[in-house]
Amino acid sequence: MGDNLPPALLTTSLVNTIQIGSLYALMALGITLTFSVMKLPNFAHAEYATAGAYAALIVSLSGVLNPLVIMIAAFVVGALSALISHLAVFKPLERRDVSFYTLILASFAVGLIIRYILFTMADYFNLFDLRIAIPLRVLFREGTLILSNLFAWVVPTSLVLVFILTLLLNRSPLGREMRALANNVNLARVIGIPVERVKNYTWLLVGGLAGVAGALWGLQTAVHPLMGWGAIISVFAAAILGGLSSFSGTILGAYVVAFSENTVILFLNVNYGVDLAYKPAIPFIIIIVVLLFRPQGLTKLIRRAGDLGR
Amino acid sequence: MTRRIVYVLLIVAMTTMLGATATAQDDMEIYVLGVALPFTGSFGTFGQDFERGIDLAVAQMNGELEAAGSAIRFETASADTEQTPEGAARALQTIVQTTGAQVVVGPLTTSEVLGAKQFADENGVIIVAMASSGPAASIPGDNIFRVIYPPDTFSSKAFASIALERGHQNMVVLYVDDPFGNGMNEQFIKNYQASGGGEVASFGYAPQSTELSAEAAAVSAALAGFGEDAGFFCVCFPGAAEAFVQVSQIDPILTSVQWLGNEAMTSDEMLADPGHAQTLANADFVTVSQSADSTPLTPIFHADFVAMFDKEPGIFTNYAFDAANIAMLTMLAAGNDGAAVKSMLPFISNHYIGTAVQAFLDENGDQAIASYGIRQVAEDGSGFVLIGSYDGNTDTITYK
Amino acid sequence: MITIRELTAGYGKLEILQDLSLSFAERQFSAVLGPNGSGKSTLMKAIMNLNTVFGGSIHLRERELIGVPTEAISRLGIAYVPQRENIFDELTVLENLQLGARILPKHDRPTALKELQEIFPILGRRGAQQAVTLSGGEHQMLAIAIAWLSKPSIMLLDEPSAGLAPAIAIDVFRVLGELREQGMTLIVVEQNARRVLQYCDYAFVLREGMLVFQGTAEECLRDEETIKSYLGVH
Repeated sequence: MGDNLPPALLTTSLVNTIQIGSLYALMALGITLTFSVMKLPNFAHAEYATAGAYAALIVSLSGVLNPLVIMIAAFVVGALSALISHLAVFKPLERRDVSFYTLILASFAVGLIIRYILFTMADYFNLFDLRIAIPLRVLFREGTLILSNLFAWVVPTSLVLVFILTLLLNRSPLGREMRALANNVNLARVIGIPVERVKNYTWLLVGGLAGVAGALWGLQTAVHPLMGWGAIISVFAAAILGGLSSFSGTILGAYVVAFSENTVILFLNVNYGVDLAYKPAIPFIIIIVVLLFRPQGLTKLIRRAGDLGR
Repeated sequence: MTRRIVYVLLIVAMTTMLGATATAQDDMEIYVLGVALPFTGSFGTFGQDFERGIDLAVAQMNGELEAAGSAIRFETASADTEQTPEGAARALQTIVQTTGAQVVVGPLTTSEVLGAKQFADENGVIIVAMASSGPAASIPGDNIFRVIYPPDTFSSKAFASIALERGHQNMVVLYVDDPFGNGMNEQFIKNYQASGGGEVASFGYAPQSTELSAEAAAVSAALAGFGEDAGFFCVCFPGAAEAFVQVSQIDPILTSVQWLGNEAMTSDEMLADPGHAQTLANADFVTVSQSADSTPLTPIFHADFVAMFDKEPGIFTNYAFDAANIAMLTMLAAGNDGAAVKSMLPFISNHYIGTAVQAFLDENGDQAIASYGIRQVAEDGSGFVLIGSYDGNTDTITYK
Repeated sequence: MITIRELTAGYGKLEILQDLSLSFAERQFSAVLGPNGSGKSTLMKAIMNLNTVFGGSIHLRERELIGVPTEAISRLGIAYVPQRENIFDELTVLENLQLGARILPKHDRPTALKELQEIFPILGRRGAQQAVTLSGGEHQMLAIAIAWLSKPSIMLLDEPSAGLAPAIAIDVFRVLGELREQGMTLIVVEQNARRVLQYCDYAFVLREGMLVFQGTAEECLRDEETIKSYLGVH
């Protein structure tokens, strides 16, 4: 695969795959975690990323350019928007024992509400299509391989966060309780795990990660109220490749989606004249193919002890 | 969905109130001016700003009518096109069915205009669009008028001429894959090759995309394939434009060739980012856009807008103001009747001094006076400098 | 110790237990017997607030249990071993045990885990293993161990020997016997009456949501009629 791509195109597209795949992974892990622990495929997830990106943008516009501060702001705002959407919408609905489909629709509605709150805010303060003020420059160049400071930011940050998350999930008492909830919520209640509190922490974590992913995504593109929503199908495709239950499957899925959207589409374009405008169709195709032929995702192929149960 | 329901309810509520006003003052005659614009989606800001321009025009007109003792008043009824062809059709239908409006100002893009076209033609509703420029909507005899802003048949010629003048043997085009981008791409290739240009490699990107790494890689590879003489032409929507420049700034090929591009590339947001500004400056970026020549109305509009809304009008907001005025003047002359408005609109338009240019329509109902400014980004990336002009009617470029 | 008065309970709108009154004595091994659908499991779940209670009361000593969230019940000293899905099968055995001990004060946890080795020696060797890989008997032992680790005064078990080979089932009951010796109150729901009656002190027989018999294990075994008509011959 890719033999027919010119070398420069191949290298660039692979670098893009890694960079974009890392961002997808960061967002998709949150979706997998929400689905496992809360049994909710949360379509409002994209909006936590957008909220985080706006937090990062506003902090950077206020003159604070310390990347750590920017990322923390993004984490906090993403985490709070996730927690608030849980407390205000999902939790009351769960209390009423509504159906799975009602919850999905509710997640769409929550997404819509956050999106338009951001729209209103962006309109009022004129914050459309701005970039978080960290300038882009070439960090490393060797032949056709070009790595930017953005790459140096995005990839390690994503990897470190994914690593911390895995560690937290597999080694800490909170992580153990989250996995217990994911595996068997009734037994968790019976043995006295404070289910609601663990859920709150999970929402904070999921939203915070999405917020950081949003801030990094805002470095990759431009900050706009629709930016998260624009990426959500790709991110969901990654999570579905992970069977919505496996961490390693989700991470692999994220890179598969990014690879398809960067390298595969270029290969098809160069060799078969497939228009790049079909790029947004790729995650849909992946979702349909996975749901038809391998609804459990990549899970079983690479199952590990640390994976989340269904 | 929820939002749409809210809109419908609002419109219903508005019309009910409207009806109440009408009965309370039964000597008044109310003409409804429909407004179909994208209030949501990535063009939501345009839509909201445009609506303010229309509100200003309506407020001024009603003030004049009252002072003159006329019994006619204008009211607007707006609906969201959601920036899609289907949304535009629904918006038009909602407006017409709930208020009986005969004339609708908007929608914004060519794809929305074409989406609304069938309903307009079949129901005798007149569309007065203010910013659609795709050649695909240049159709004689239909119910669509595109005032003030000329179709891209003109600007694509200007871009082709500049590309040839700059000595580009071959060109690479990145365009948004919708009627506007497709039209610009096709017209550009036609004009470029007709005047002696070489090969053109075109890449369409999906209108909803805001992450354009793969597209940038493809453009870069195509440019590399053509060699040093090639140039690049970018036809993007806002948002995608910034995202494209963002990923291009570290590409060795894209940063070493000359660029042409549409107005979306020249936004304030673009230049607000020093990296983006520098990239465009290094690329000798040139754009062709409708001339911002002033008319006597230009400063008046600006002052009135600031007085009414306490904020600066956004780009092209004055076009919405002009379109609303042309629509209302025609309705005053022809009455609140679609067929009569259709027949009379060209005459009124051709006697209207716009806030930017004189309005004048061709046989397709499109703006026919095409006077463009050629602007290049300043060397330090601080802003755009007018370097010349293009007269679309004579196909001549004049540099300062 | 647990006193139930006029309890009507079930699932959703379905009432399974009808005006049930009975009480479980402290430090006794009580068995709740009855055919399928007699409401035995419903009774356990009502105590744990896992289903719908339509009326009546459930008291732990003086305290009303109805309305207490399930999460809080374990802190009152009641542990419950459901019939199915009674372990975290995706987690390791050790993690299951750690979760079981989580409500103990931190400094008591190591001792509890050590004591556990003596009662459930088999689990000590399986710590790193994923719980789903355990055999049927080990699985059941783990479920009981999770409950035991919270150091409850009362343990409710729903059909602890269901699906186990006879020899292993006997093992499970032997462990329950040891727990009773230590002074724990046990309430066990069983279909296999003959077996449980050999270990328990007292038995209740339910049928169609109502109490039809209660008495000591001996009385129950002696009453041929009860055994035949309500419990089937085993």
